[in-house]
Amino acid sequence: MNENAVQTATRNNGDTGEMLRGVTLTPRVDILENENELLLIADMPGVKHADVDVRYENEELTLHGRRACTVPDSGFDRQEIQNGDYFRSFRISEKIDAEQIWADMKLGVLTLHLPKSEKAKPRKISVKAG
Amino acid sequence: MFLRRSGIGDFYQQMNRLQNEMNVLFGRPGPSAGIGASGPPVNVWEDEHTIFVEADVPGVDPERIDVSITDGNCLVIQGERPAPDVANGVWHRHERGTGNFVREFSLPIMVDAGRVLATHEDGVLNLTLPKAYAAKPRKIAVKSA
Repeated sequence: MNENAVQTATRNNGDTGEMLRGVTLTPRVDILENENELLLIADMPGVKHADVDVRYENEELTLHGRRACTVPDSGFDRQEIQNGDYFRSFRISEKIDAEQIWADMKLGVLTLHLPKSEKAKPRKISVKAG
Repeated sequence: MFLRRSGIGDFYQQMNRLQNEMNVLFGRPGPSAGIGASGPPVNVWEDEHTIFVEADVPGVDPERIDVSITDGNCLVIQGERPAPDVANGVWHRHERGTGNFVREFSLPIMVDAGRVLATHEDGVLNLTLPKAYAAKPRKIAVKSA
């Protein structure tokens, strides 16, 4: 919620240059789960390692990435890639160990590992013979 | 009244969100079109001597990308994107396409296929294609008789 407020504020405060910078791009994602972690993989081509911002707060995970395309003065012959910032948020109901989240950015793909907290992991209860 | 006045904004916000999700699911070419059935999205522009092509190929090993030019102006970009390797994983969302892709289109002008330069950075393929000499505009001087 806070993140959204910050996001909106930045957009409104920006001068026209900022407003014209581009559109908000929704990165495509895969989300997988195994017994130890949730794995989120997001396509963010054109984003440098240093220009990615990932936050996890109040069960909400937000991804933000800044992309700068080449915009030629003479215009495009063909334009299918837009200039803009990637943004997407998710509500994660699974209990996550926030301290242990780690991310990796490679070939324009962000991979986020969200380890489940100990409480959320399935536990095997051994049954003793009485 | 089952829709309170204060709730309408929320309602539309939810509907917009739903629409966005549907667009992603059905692969409509939105602002963030990815590698889908139609291949990677591209930008093409030019200056006097060169045509520039930028293609989004996130997660594709540059070694697995093949670029070729046929007939002087037909550009083909093909490659393969691996599926995520997760042991015993359960899928919650699956929006990223994987496997083989091909993108083929005509360039606005003939290029010199022997001098094409390809680089790769942050999941973006950059091609520099020098225009073929015959294709460059030439200024013809008109002499007065």
